[in-house]
Amino acid sequence: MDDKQLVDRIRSGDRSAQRALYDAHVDRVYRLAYRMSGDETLARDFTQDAFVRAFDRLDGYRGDAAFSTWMHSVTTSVVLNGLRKIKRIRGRELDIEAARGIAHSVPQAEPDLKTRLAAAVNALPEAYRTVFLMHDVEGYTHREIAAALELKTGTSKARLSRARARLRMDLKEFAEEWVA
Amino acid sequence: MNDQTGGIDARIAEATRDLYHAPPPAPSEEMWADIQARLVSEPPVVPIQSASGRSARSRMGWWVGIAAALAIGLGLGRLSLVPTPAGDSAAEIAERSGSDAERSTWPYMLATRSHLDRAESFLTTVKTDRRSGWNNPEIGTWARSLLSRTRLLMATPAAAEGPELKALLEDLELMLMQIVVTADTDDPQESLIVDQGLEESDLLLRLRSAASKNNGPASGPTFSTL
Repeated sequence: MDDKQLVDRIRSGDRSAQRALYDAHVDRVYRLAYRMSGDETLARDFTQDAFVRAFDRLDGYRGDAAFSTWMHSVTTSVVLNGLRKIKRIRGRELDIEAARGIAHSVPQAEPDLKTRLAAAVNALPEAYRTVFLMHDVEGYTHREIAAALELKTGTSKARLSRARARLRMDLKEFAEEWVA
Repeated sequence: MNDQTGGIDARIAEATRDLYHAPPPAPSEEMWADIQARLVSEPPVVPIQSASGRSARSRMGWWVGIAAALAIGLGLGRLSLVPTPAGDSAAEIAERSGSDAERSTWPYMLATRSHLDRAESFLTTVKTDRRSGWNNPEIGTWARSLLSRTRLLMATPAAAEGPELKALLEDLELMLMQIVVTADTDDPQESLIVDQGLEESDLLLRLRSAASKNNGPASGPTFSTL
């Protein structure tokens, strides 16, 4: 049974179809949520929020695009909004710590690839990082990314190109080794 | 893009796949139990605005919670019904019914653990906000949502597993009600009770301990040991 038939069954009140639709998409949704948040609890919460929202708003899915495209649009919206909220809260906590004099400088360790890579990816602007993670890391097409983020495919390509250029620059000492 | 640049991009992508937030397997069953509970419980959010209106609304919230829990219970019960082969002995049937009961309880326990985890994060945020003097306008909405789910979970078989979990959910319910009332009224007396509750009670510690306990079909339910 394909996604469209499952959606029709859910609309007619068949709850078991919800589970089938969930099973078909949960792995990819969770992977994206985890890749973007880097936290197991957050990824779980975002995945749950995305499915609850999708099932609640299934009437808004008109069937013009594939269900997976619509589902990933819901997921990216939930994850990006959630991460922005958390960033605001963490920002305040850091301010409080700084005000109390708790904050201290972390000694710089010899950077390895994992640390440098994480720093470089985290330093990308959110719009670039999202496209880079979706395309180069999780294998979404530009068309899927454009639909999920409500962009033109050309914008998605341009953002990916800029993200790659920044990463090449930030990781140039490793890039030299790779080329050699 | 030349070959060299393309090669570097491919290596960066590969390294990112392996080293940057590499996802573990999705905890599908655990998430599904929580999604099911939320799909049933989220629509009826019961507003609590004043002491006079609290009692009737609270009762209504209870009935909605109990009805929702029964709906989930019936659904899970139907899924876990297994036809009994004619030749099974009474002992085998008794043994199977015991493990079936356990299987039908663990989704509630997973949902409860996840809820306690979320409640702990929420109360920590409230505590931080209040210490810093910041009045977060969304606190009331979040507290209401958690309150309705707490009430739903209080009526599930997971809460009947042990008196300590039941007591923990009741204490959490009281704290969330207090936060909702404070958010709605800005009453300094109510605020003081919230502050004292967060600073002096062991609720956060108990939530942290309960949420960190392992649960699942393989290891069996553990909330009874709380």
